[in-house]
Order: sequence, then structure tokens, then C-alpha cells
Amino acid sequence: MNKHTIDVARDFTNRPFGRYQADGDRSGEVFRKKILVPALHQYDHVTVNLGGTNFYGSSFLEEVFGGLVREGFTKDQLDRKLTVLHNKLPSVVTEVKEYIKEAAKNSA
Amino acid sequence: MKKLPTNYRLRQKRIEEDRFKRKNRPGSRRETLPTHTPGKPVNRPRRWQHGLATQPRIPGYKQVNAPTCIALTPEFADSVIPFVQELGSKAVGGNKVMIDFFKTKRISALGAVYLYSEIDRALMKASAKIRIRGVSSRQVRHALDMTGIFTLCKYPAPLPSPHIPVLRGTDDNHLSKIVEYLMNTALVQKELNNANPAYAERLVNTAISEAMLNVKQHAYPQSEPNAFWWATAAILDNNLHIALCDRGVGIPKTLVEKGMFKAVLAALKTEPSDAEMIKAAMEYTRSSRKARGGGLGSRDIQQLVLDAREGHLTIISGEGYYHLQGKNNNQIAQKIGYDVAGTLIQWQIPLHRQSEAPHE
Repeated sequence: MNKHTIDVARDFTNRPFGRYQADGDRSGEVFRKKILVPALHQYDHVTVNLGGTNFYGSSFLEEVFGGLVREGFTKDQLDRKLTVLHNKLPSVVTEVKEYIKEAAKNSA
Repeated sequence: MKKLPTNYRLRQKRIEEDRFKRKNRPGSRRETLPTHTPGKPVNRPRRWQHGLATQPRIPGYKQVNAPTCIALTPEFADSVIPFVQELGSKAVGGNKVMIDFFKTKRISALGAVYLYSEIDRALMKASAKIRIRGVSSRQVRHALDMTGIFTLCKYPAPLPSPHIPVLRGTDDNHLSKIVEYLMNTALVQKELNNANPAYAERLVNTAISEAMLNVKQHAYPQSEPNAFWWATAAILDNNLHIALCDRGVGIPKTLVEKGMFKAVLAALKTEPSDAEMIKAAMEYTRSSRKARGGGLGSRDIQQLVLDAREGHLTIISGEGYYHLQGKNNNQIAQKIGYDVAGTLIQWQIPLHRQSEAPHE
């Protein structure tokens, strides 16, 4: 089983901002399309480490993780393949889980 | 010859002190004026006897008189918005405009940001020349200095201060500067979440950045090249104020044009006022995670005051005034007499004394 870890602050930006690509290079859509989705296709398990910055807007998080469901990943797949961490803010991890759950409910 | 300090402000202060000493020296006219006895009418020079003296107009300048209080509460908005509109219209075509603050006694953080945005727009669009005079109140001078309005009007820069002047941006530039300032103010962390500074940082950052994102995504028409916001953060009267303003189409028009919250707005009466529309959208987003594309932003905007021990959120957009008191969820939605031509948001968090018990 090949595993991969993405450190958002190190591999993407420590100032995430915005939802859509039109909002800039640090947006949720850019992160999802350029980094997260290719990693989920390539590896059996991906860990997204959100620690390293606290600058996460809800729009960014919803677009990244809710967007995965809209892009075709099922909730079960994500439960198996994806782990999200934040060493200082457990509330961010809870929020991410809610976005996935909500997106799955809406797409059902 | 007496040596004067090289710093402009210190030099002006010294000159003022010398002038005061000269005027009040023994035997001067002022010294010989009768002193005021309580209960008796004040013996003023003739030109002051019928109330405040008016200042003569300066040739070549179009004068705009600032109102008594530059704040955006429903009480004062009806005098502030026409004043700001008059300022903008007089500056059209690169005219010289003189703003007279003679009657002004107070400027709020939101009022200062709104005024700053109008002056900035006038200077950008029309390369107008704007001067200031008649600043008689210490609070007004402090507010004009602190927010950078003096500097914007090409007056010498004030002495370095810890406050954030009004900043202009298009996405989240300057955001880290504002958040850093707020986080360095230890009391802010205490008010928001005593246990976890990371949580306080995220809360402040999310509220401001989502408001900035709303400006970028929704506030201006697509064709507008300068989709600016203006923002400031300041501590005034032991209250933390964060104010952000844009000069776009306003929340009510955006909701209608972009078809947002259709079901929510449909539940209102046939022609809801701007204030009712803002209130309905805020109430909906406060209780739901479903809204994608703008809805979540307004929930984050509210979260900052809902999580603070006591906090107030004020939104003025179009002709609507909306106020949310975080502590007990009290809401006020009120119509104001004029269109503010944009959206103004203010978070206000009272800062309690260090000695008080921490918030659980």
C-alpha cells in the first residue's frame, strides 16, 4: 500500500485564500485540481496535513473537500483513502468531515 | 536663534506652544479679558457671540462641510451619506475640494473607512486635490491621523503608530498585516478564546478573508477593473473595531441579480426592503452549511462576533442597516434614507480588563 502526505503549508501555500481558480493561485480549486486529486489517483492513501497555518477560510476548505465529492469521489472512498490532520485545530478537521458529508448528501 | 526639531509634528507642536505662551503672557489682551464666572454668560469676542463662527470660503476650492458625527448608524447615516456623495460629486473632473471639519466632533471607524474610500476614489479617478481644514476636535484629528486620511490628502505623514491605517486591496493582500496586529493585541485572543490562540487567529482571519473574498466574487460588476476594498483595524474607547468597505453594487442587488438565496427571499413579502433582505440572508447562513458560493462567507463573517464574549456586527449595504449582537443574537434591520453605494461591514468587540475572569 503506497502512502503519501501533503503538507499544505509546505507544498502549496501558508496563505490559502479563495474558492475558485478565478480567486487566485492559492484557491481551493487550484489545490484540489493540481495537488490533491492527482495524489488520490496515484496513491492508495493520502494524508493532508493542514497544520502549519491557521489561515483557512470555509470557502477554501469546502471547495477542496466538498469539491472532491462533486468531482466524483464517494464518501466511502474518501473515508478509506483520505486522512485530514491539523495539530492545533481539531475543529478544522471536524469541519472538513462535515463538508464531505454535506456534499455527499447533496449529490445523492 | 532657537533650534526647532526637524520632525514636522514636533516642530508644529513647539510653534503652537510658543504661540500660546506669547498670547497668554502677562499684560497681553487675552490676559486682561475678564474671567468667566459660573452662572453668568460667557464674555466672548463679538464674532463668536451667536454660536460657532463660520469659516470664510477659500477661492478656487469647492467646500464640503462635514456633519457633526461621521458614523453610519441609522441616526447619523442620513447626514453622512449625502456629505460623502457631495464630496465625490464635487471632486469630479479634478476639482479642488476643501473638506471643512469645523462642526465634526466624532468619527467612527466605519465612518472613517467610508470617507477614506470616497477620497481615495476621487483622487484615483479624477486626480482631484482635496484639502482638510477646521479640525477642532481632538478625537477627529486622531481619527484622521490614525486612518491615514491626512496622509492620503498629501499632508505630512504622522508619527509612527501601532494602529493600522486604512488599507486598500483587491484580494487578501494586507490581510496578514491586519491579523498580525490583532493577534499581537493580547486582549483580542483573550476575548475570543482564552485556551487556543490558533483558534482565535483562524476566527479573525476567516471573518476578514471571507469578507474580502465576497468583495472579489460578488461586490462589483465583472466589467469593473478596480474591485477594491478598504479596511482598517483599530482600538478605540477600549473596543476593537475592524471595518471593511467596498463601493460595489451592494448585497441586496447582488442577491437579486445572481439569484442567491432564492427560496429564502421568496419567503419574504413581495418587495422586501434592503435591510430585510440582508437579515434574511444572514439568518439563513448562520444556521446552514448548505449555501455554496457566498453563503459560507457570510456565516464566517458572523462567527467572529458569535464566538466573542460580547461582539457586534454591523452591515450597511444599499439602503439597509443590519446589526447583530453576538451575545444574545439580537438583530436590528432598519431602512436608511440613502443608498450607501457599496457595502460596509464592521466587527466591534469590547475588550475587557485583564483582571476579569477568563471566558469559559
